[in-house]
Amino acid sequence: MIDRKNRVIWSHDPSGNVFLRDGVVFRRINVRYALDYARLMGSGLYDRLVKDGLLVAHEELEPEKGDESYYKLIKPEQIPFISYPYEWCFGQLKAAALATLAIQKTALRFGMTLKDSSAFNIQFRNGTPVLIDTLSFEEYLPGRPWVAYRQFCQYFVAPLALMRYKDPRLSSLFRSHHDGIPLDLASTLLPRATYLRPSMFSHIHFHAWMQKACGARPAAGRRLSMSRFALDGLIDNLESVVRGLKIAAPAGGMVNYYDSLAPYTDEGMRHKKETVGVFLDMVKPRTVWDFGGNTGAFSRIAAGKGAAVVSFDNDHGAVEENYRNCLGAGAGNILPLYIDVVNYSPLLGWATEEKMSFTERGPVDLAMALALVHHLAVAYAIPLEVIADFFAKICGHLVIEFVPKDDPTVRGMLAAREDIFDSYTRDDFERAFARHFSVLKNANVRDSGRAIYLMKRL
Amino acid sequence: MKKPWLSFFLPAEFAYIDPGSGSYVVEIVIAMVVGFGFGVKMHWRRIVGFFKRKKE
Repeated sequence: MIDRKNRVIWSHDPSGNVFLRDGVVFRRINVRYALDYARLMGSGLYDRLVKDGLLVAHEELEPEKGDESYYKLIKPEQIPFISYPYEWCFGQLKAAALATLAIQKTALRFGMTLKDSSAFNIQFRNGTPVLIDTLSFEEYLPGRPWVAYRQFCQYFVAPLALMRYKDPRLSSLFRSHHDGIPLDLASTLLPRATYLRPSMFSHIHFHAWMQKACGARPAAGRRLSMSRFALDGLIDNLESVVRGLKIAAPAGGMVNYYDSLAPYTDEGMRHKKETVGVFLDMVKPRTVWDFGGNTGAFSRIAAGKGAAVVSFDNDHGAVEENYRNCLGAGAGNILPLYIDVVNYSPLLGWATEEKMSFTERGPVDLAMALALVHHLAVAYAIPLEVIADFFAKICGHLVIEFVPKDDPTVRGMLAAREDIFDSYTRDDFERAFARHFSVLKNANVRDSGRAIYLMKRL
Repeated sequence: MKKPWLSFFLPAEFAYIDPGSGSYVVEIVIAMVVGFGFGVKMHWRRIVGFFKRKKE
């Protein structure tokens, strides 16, 4: 097993690579990228993009001596929580697409162009998308088409179109396709009616067809050329295509959970929020993970107390609404993500080493698992001990709610199945968690049989 | 040539091998199609100004 906090991240790019030293990210720049790096820094493009919040800032350090291909060592601004496109909602992927186009437009003004437009090069910092690959730029040569156009279609146009015209959950295709969604696959999956939309016909269907047709052409001749004006027109067109892709305000699923299904009275809900607030004040966590965060009601309480919050849910509509709420409220310290706790993101990529697993991004100061345990223990039949083992691995403190069997929600879950859960009582719950945690405080939620615990890992 | 229709998009002197050559053709074709509209958009004020001046 390699040391995950001290490893080289293969960058698919001979310009340099990224490596971790004690968990801190550094980027090595090779001599072959020296000219483009000098152009990025000297032209004013770097300053412009950093000022606009579109590129991470970095500081230059002394490179190690003795390696002739080693040009520079930089330490980029660290992103507190790395997330991947297969964990983003529609709105986040769209924001990442628009940021990529804004970066390309700015780069062209400074005589450079993006040579990559991978969605994996974008991260969310304070709620907004930012490019983390400082080596994505190269000199713009007049007449040259946009070399990253194909990537842009695969990483952004195709998945956004699939999410818009088919189902938002199709973002999970990124898990199996790290080079973006193949256009022939997108073309097959999209409804036939999209052939009639000029944007979808040209960037997806015609594009997929041309890729197939040109795939085996022999090497010969000159390069294709494209004027700067035509290139600006293309970027402008992509921008309006992306802006035009919208999904309706989410509805159904878990989105209205707190409004209609929840077994809380107004007083019960108020008391639950107050209790969570008091527990958070006792711990004062810097980082919080909200499991089953839904539309983020409790994430916002933690964020309001200054914590950097990541809010997970397995309902895409809830994540989308959470993201929109955060944008509306300017709550940059909440990162809503589409992650299912019973099937969270694994290690992925080359040698299953490139993309971090979900748990690897921890541990977190405090985890919140509100109205979650009954879903895991009853709906998924995961033993309470196993649930406790999981939380013990990822957090220092835990705010967790126990929902008893006679709760209306659990009764509903058991209505359609045999009750095989003899060991699902409050005593069993306390015993299972006592193996890893000590209870600092607990409270019964008013007007309900539910109880909330504040626990500290032993 | 296996696919004669390709010559419409790819004049012989433009043939270029690259895994993305199909994508290059597509972006050039799209840029040509949207180019007129983009030109109008970029110069909209000047175009409107031109007609306004004529009216006056």
